[in-house]
Amino acid sequence: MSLTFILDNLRFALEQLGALAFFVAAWLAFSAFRQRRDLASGSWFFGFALLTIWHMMNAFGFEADLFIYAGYIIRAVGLLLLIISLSKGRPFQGVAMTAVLVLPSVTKAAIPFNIIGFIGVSIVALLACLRCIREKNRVDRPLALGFLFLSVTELFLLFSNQNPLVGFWLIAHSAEAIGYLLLAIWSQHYLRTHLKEEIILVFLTIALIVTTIVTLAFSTFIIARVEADTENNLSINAKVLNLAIEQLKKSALAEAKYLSDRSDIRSAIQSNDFAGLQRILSSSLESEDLGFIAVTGRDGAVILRAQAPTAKGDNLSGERAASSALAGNPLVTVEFGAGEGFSVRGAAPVISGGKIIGAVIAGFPLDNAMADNIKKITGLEMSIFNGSVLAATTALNPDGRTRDTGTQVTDETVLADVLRGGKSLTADTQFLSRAYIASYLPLHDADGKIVGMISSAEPQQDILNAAAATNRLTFLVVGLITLFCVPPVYFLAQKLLE
Amino acid sequence: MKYIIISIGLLFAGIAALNLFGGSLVQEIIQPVKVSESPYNGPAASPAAGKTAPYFELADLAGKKVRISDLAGSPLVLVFWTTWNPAAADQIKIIDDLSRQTDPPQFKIMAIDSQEDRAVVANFIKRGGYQVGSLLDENGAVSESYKITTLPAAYFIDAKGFVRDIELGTLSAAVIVDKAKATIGAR
Repeated sequence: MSLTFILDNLRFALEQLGALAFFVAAWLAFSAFRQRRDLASGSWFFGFALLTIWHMMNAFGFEADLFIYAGYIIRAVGLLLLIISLSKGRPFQGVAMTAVLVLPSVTKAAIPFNIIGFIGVSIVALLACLRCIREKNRVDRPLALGFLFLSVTELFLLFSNQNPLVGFWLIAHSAEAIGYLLLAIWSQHYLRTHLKEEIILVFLTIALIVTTIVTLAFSTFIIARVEADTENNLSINAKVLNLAIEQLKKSALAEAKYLSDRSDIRSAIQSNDFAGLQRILSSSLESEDLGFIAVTGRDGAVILRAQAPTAKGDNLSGERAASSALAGNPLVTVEFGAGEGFSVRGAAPVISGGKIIGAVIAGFPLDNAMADNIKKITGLEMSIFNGSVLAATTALNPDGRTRDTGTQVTDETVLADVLRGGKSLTADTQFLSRAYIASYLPLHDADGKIVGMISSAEPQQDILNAAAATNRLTFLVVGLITLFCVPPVYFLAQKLLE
Repeated sequence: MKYIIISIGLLFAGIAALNLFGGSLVQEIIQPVKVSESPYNGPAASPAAGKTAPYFELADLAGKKVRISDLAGSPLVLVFWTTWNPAAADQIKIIDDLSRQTDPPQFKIMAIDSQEDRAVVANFIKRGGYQVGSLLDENGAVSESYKITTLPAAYFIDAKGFVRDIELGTLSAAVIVDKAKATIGAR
């Protein structure tokens, strides 16, 4: 199972711990609010209550923009209420609130809201520290320290991306865990004098822990199967794609041989009838379903290209396919050439009177159009690499309009195992800072040399989204069942105290 | 205490009201992220947005003549492209995927290949398995009348034949649908 998935599950458990810590604090604050009914206790209670809600929302990781936006607002208001409560000793002038008239998109709002979160948590930590110092209060020290660690978390999260394998992410969530534990220690001190609340909270804590463990165990099992199936499917996909390219090779060689045997092409070359040759090649390009056709003279200089009639005169004798054909040996290979690009190409000699008078090179560019067609037939996302450089892909970038062709694979495991080692590989990998599960196969030329790779990949985010959905559903079901036990425990605690 | 409750209540009421009645204000937070897509925005020199789209009659890949008037009656997206331009070629994939959607859009899409041989265009379309219709502007006259200087270029034409928007550069499917829908609603 991938480390990404394990860490994502740990994040889920951590957010539940945070929700529990804030819930306990909110419950205690509610007890105080019931007695005092003032601004300070009320804002203390609502602040912790809103932060509890925010942590639950964060744990489930809903992707809808409206949900994320609501979470930002709930968190900001919760922190503001805590700040109001902690500053209750100072003259309270009231806060001028401006109505929100236009809401920007979530991605635009994310950065300022994350900064607001960091500032808010830092202010709460500062005010809590000042209160401890002013009142010489050792009991509230865990509260101050807890928020201090949470502000460190917010600071590191500002500079980390969502990749759980990056150092800042790990530091941030470690600090977050310490912060929640300190809040729990602080809450526990006050619980000693509230027996009924302590009984109920102990039960709720146990229920939450059980629910979280069941959820994580279930999703771990399910997602492990999903990951294994995904890897298996990707491996099969890569083999299917390899088969498609092998078929292209056979077709390219057969077409090159067929075209080189045609008497009209032979006559056109001999008589230098370029107009006639262009008509024949244009017609053949379409009728034979080829990607390109090039005809060279005896010396390897291009006489005509069907797909680009004005691109001629360059010499192909340095290319493997053309040189083999000019030596009298038909050949099919995968190679890169300036004229035809990275392509599958078959080449065959044109022979007249027992002498080689030229060569026909026919084939298929390994480009985005070819990849798109294979995807339409097989339904598989694929990528083709010329060496380590992405030559063709079916996948569009998140912007929905560009492809990453021309970029390079930098994953050393892929380069070592596939490109240099000639092995197939199915593994977690990174490409352009995005995490994927990918299966790679090497591409060989006619001499058995590795000239590139083909791959089939799935973004890891798809699997994480499936995990999050599983977590939500399982947690909801198990949590609801557990909560049915709360009223009996409550009444039992009530009776015990009576 | 009551001020806190009133404030929080107003806040949630405000969010609910925006959600229910905010219309285009809330649209922005529930739409997918749109990256600024092309370095050029705004109409070309001619034909400017609001003017009638220039008339053309071009052959498709099967040799059948198609006039712009044949495409009237519903909004039209005209995409100028060419096979040798990778960005333009990617645009063909995007509009091909759009045209294959099971819920067909309320507008027509037509590609016009600029100054390439029929065999080359037919070969590209066939290799990619693309089904989107493409007309051939082999001598470049139509591209000239639409003042095409950058490929790909998309013209959004309303049902009455007026150009409503011009976009240069590759457009995502979401942007094409948004702009075409705006054309539907344009008066």
